[in-house]
Amino acid sequence: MTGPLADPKARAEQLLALLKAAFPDRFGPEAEADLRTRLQADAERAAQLRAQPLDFTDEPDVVFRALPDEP
Amino acid sequence: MSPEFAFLPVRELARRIRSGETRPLELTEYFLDRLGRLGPAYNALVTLTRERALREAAEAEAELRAGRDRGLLHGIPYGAKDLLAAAGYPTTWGAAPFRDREFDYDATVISRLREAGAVLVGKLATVELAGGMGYTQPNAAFTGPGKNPWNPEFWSGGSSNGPGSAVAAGLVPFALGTETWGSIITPSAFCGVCGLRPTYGRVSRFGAMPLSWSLDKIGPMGLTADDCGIILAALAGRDPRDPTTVDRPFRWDLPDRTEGFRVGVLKGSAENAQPEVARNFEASLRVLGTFCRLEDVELPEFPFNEIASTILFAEAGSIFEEFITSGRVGELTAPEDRYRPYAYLVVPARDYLRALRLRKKAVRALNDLFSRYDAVVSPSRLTVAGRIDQDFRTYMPPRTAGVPISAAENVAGLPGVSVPNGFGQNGLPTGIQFTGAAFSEDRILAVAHAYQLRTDWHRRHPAV
Repeated sequence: MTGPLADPKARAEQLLALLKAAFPDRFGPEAEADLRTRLQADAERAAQLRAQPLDFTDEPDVVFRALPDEP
Repeated sequence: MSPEFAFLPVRELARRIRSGETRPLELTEYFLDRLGRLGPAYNALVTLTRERALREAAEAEAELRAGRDRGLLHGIPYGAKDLLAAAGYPTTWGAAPFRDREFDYDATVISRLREAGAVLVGKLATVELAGGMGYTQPNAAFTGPGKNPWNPEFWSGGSSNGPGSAVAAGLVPFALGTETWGSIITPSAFCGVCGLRPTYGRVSRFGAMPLSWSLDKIGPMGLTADDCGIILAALAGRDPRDPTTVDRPFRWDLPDRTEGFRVGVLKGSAENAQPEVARNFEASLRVLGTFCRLEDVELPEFPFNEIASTILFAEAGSIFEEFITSGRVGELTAPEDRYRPYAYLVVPARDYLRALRLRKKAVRALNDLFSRYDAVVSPSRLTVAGRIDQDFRTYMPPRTAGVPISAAENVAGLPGVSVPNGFGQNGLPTGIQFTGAAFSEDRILAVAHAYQLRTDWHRRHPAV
């Protein structure tokens, strides 16, 4: 899949543009730089997670249990 | 009352109540006075629960006189982090938008302490919204920055800053804190007190502000590991109102076993630590070596930070979605808390689910490793507390603000107890943490208790 939906940078730029427009008093250059760094870190985190091998048998615990194999 | 009562552990206070040296009402009035008078000096107090405390203390006294003894916590005052609902008083979550909001019920943990006869004397300060909005400096609550009783120019740690300061300064015998990622362990280490983060599912979260449904834990902070065990025994157990709680009994008494433990030493855990923190950890290992078999251990390889962050941001983003999108987040105290949470709203579902899938594998691997030991030890934090006007990023190495185990233990919901193990820069405390396999609180507390039989750091108190 290509295009903006798959591109975290595009998503980040959209969010930053929205915030600048909606909250100009709260969202100055320093805040923008900080949030841009955070979003970049989020994208790197996501990439790290995607680098981990998983197959279809690896199901999430939607309700977390500290010992998932116990009833 | 003699000033020594400020720093007596629960077990000793209980003995003195039963010997007649004090009474619940006298003890309660003593701590109400201390907390009311001194709590504001550390920005530790939100609300004194005076009327409720006096009523509960009077009931405790009458019951004990009538021969109805509920156990060691009967008549003992305590404070609760202000994320925990208590009927009749505000529950503010440390956030200006909620400073007048009340719930008409008690959190389960508060009900359980009530059943045990403990006396709620105050709601204690917390970083706003449990620190989950991304704060980077201590002034992140309408109560102001938490101040460390050992040196009030320095931070108490968070997000359970009120509990940490209040216990360290002898304003309450014990307190309830919470931890999503570091919020019991950090203030415990920074303030030189004992803090227990129980296994996820051990203690009901009903009535507590959720920050992350699958990461939040509630636990005791007190003067000794033994106290933490006594309090956990009152808190633990299945609660139908929190379906993630498990039916695994927890009982605690002073352990017979005080040696012969098998303890893992987390390899490299002190590598990025301040020299004094590393030195104190080495000294602790020498003490542990006299009664434990020590072995180096390494964590299995998983991206623990990335898993924990993704889960936290996705769940917090969902919990606080309306709060963020309505713009009310703009009313928070810390400037960075007013915009950082918007990033939570763009975490893709597939990233969250991937994190959950990896988490399950990590949980199995970690329990497989930790179950071979009575405890795995590491420094609780890599630094002592920073100044109250200092950005964390200037003294905490990135991604190692805790220790390498911090993300792993919270991803897996593992129990851990931090106890004081010395002092570092600026006369501030350091801590050592004992982490265990899921539901092994009895073992980690036994090792920590045995450590405290051989050391006296937990008996040192600040001049307040």
